[in-house]
Amino acid sequence: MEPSDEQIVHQVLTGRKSQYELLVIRYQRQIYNLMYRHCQSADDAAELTQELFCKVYEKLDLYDNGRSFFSWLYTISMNHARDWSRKQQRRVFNSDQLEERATPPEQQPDSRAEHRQQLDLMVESMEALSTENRELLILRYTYSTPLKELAGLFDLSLSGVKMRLQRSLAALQVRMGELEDGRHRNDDQ
Amino acid sequence: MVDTEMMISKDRLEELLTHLEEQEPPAELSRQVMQRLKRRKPSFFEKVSSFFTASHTITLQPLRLAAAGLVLCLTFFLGMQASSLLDPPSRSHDGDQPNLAAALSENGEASFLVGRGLLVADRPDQALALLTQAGQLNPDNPEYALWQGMAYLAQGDLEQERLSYQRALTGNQQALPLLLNLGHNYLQSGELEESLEFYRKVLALSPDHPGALYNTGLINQQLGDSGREISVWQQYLANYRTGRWAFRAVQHLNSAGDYSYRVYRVGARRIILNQKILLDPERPEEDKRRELMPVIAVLSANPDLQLDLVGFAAEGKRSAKTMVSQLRRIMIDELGSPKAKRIRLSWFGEAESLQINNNYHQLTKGLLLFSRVKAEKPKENRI
Repeated sequence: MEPSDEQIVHQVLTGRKSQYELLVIRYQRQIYNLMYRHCQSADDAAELTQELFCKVYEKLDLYDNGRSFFSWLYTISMNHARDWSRKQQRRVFNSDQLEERATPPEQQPDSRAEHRQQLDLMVESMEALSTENRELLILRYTYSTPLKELAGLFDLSLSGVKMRLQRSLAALQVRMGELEDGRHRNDDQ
Repeated sequence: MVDTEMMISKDRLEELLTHLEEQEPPAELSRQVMQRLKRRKPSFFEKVSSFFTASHTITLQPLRLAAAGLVLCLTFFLGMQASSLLDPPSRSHDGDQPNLAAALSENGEASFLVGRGLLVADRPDQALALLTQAGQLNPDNPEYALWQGMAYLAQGDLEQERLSYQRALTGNQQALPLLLNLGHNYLQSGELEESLEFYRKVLALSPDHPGALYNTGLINQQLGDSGREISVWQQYLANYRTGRWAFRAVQHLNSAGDYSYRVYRVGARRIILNQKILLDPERPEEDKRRELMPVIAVLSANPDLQLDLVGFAAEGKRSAKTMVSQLRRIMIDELGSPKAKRIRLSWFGEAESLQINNNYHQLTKGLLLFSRVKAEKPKENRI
């Protein structure tokens, strides 16, 4: 039987430092993808993930056993990613971020390509959401994180989480509609 | 206004979210983290902290303990004697307590290292005091000045940030990080010409530096120098084709009226290709092959994917056909001839018309790529 996160943390803190690799292996996918969503570069995401796990290792004694390790890790990761984004964005003109996207014409979908295209469209639309709302959706639907855990992670009540999820879904729905609408108009021209 | 009938349902959205594709983390990631942790040296504070918090084994030997006690008493007695002889009675003893600040004030490197650590830990105020101290102890060290400037930046003090870099530059005109940060600093202050000057210096030292190239493109755009702007974006894209900034660079380039680079969607991927290379009949085939490799890689990985190549040439149909036929042949060479049916061609003896940001453009030569998943059953014809 695999040790729980809390057991591994305890082992690391009592001197079995190599056990930390189990935690890295367990959560590297989620953290790497979170970083990738921020920086859109495989190299930067790998570097940020490494930095993050080193940072967490140093803070491991601050981990509260009563809380889910993943929630704690994800909170630190979101802050780390946000810091990185802030540093990057400070150096770019505001006008650069306001420009409209110009994408090449899209192919007409067939049955399977339609699913693929909807996925692509959704990924593109998610960029319009705030970091918190985007991560909330991913944690809930992609990683099936329990609502209670999300409430702790985002410092919200249970009903607050549900409301935020609904609003984020609605915002995503509208954004996808806008993008798709824009593409159809381009196709018509 | 969004057509609500076109909107995807929430249930469908939830289902799509469960299928959200993820990037595969590098295979060696966990090993690299562990190696990094092994290489990491504990800080001074960690050493002190571990000394006081870790358990220690104490072996008691009476004879040695007695000797140690004797030495301790003797040292205390001698210390008292020396103190009474050397110290004037009025001297204040308040500053005699050893403290970390005093220790750091004598060692520039220690101040720098601790200050840098504090800055990384997002404590710029404390970091700045130590980094300033380090800079005063070693005024000729450009690295200290660089970090001092970054501490000012973290505080939002652009003026002081600039002064820190400028002071350090007097001793070393070729320090790339200082030049780069000065360029950033002037850019952030809206002083475009000055910023451009420093980015030029960076590019003289490192011609492909991504940050300096990208920001040079932006500045030229702001200055309305579209000729230089286009040339810089092209240089950027000749070196960098992935990541958010590369896609933005293509948007800027296209908005400036240049379509030498374009973004194509092939399967799930967005790929940046140099259209100019692909459509130039004089260009060596090897260059075109290299350019097409990302497309070939996607086709190899997705056996059900079909690709349509559409060529435009204002000079005539024959020219358009020759262009796309050559590209198809190169791809089939790489994929193998049984895959030939997956790549279909269309050609038009006319210029390609396109519209971006309400501007219409005519390209004398143009290439479009469309990909789609091969349908297994014939589709219904809809009226």
